[in-house]
Amino acid sequence: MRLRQRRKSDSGGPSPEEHAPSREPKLRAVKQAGAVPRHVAIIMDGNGRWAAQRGLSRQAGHRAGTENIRRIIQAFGERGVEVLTLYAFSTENWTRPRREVNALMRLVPRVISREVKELHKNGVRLVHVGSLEPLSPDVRKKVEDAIELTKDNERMTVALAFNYGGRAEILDAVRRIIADHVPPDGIDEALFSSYLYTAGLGDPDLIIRTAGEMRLSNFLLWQSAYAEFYATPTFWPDFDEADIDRALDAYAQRERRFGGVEPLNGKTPDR
Amino acid sequence: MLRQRVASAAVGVPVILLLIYAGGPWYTIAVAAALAVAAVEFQHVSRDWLDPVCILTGALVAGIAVGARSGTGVWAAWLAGAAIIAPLAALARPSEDSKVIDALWTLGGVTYVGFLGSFIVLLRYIDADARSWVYLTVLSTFAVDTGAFFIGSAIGRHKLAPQISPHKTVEGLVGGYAAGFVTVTILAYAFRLEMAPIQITALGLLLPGIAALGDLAESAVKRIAGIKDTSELIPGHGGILDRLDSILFTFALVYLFTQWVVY
Repeated sequence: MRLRQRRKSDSGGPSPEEHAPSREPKLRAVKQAGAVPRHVAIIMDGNGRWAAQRGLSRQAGHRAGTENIRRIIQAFGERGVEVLTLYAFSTENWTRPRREVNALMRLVPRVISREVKELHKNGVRLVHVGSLEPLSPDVRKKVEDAIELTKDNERMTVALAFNYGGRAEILDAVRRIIADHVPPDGIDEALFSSYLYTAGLGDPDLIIRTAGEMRLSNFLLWQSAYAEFYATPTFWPDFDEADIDRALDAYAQRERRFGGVEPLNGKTPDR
Repeated sequence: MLRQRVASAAVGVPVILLLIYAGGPWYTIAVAAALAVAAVEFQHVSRDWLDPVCILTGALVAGIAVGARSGTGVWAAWLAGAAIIAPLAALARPSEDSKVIDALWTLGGVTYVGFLGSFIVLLRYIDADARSWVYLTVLSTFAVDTGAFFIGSAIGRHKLAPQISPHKTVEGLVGGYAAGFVTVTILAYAFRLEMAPIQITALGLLLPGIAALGDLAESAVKRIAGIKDTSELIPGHGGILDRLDSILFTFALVYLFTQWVVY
């Protein structure tokens, strides 16, 4: 299977109209191979380095990075991905310079209020993965309102991993399991999964990390057990449809065995 | 998107035409306010909307525009003052990771939006036929943009500058050029402007080119910053700066054309 590779220069936010003719065949080509990941998770890294490379401030990098989110959601939706998890701000990022953290905090509600109408119109359900507690009340309300508004949408789910940490999530699940007085032999993988922030989203099939790093950085530790990992040197603001197609291409060529011998591509293993 | 675009234009264009007709202080105030917002949008690339440097640059740009009304001497003083104060303010209040480029960016806002934008004020108060000249400039520039937009979307195939703006096409450029040339010619005769046919032809050939250049210049700025619209103030059009891109250049052209060639 070869996807049409888009040239790098096409990256400047293609309009939906422009894609209309090519969308259908692209979707079919991927679907026939039976290898579109159901759930893709992305570690959006490299805003700061992207900006530094151009001599711009980190904040300019974050702004360019958030602009890219809209394009990427649309592109993954067109390619038939059902769940897209975006790792936006980890619990560890609180240690960054205060001014940058503040700027990020203001950016998130702004992005949500700006994009939620368009996402809602396109049938996208928005969920949050992580803890909303340390956020200021108005940031929190913005996020909660957006989730409430889009909760019945079915076309695609976008999970924003904002103020998320994998270990904190697991600890939180353990605490709640104990608080619920679950007997030890009643705890299995399915039950544990249902106590995680990602309950109901399913495990990611493909995790993409931009900006060349090769680590999970505390992202979906439990859920990533059998995920395929794809890293690209492209910085997040430059990550475009050509990069998406390369990642999906690489994914389609992998054999997923889930620890067994036979490839189980397109099937879910019995666990 | 197109419906929004047309709806915004249907509201905006009559207001603009009315302001041009009225002239007087209202015109200057409206232009200064629009330029101030555009300057803030320009600054917003590297700073928050409410950052003091953003606001200060907007205020200085408004000052430059109002200063232009009081004669070129006052105008020059405002320009020089703003060009010194804005970058100093940016250095005094560094963004998260202060860069000299941040200071230069404010200087860019002052000159690009403030200096070029002042010609919108200057042209309205030239000695002869000021109102007609402004109408000609605005309507011809709109004609270039509109012609390029519709011809480009209808038959555009060949990319004009894919590195700068992926949606602009050679066909659109030609369509905009034709629409601009025709509009300049018709309006020059309709308003009975004191121009020889050769001068009309020259302006008709220059204006669409300069308009396209202004458009590309703003696209290049946005491309560097990795953004699509400078803001979302005008539904379907992006920000004020997105609408002013070619206007900034064509007003400078027409003003200088009236001063150096026509009168």
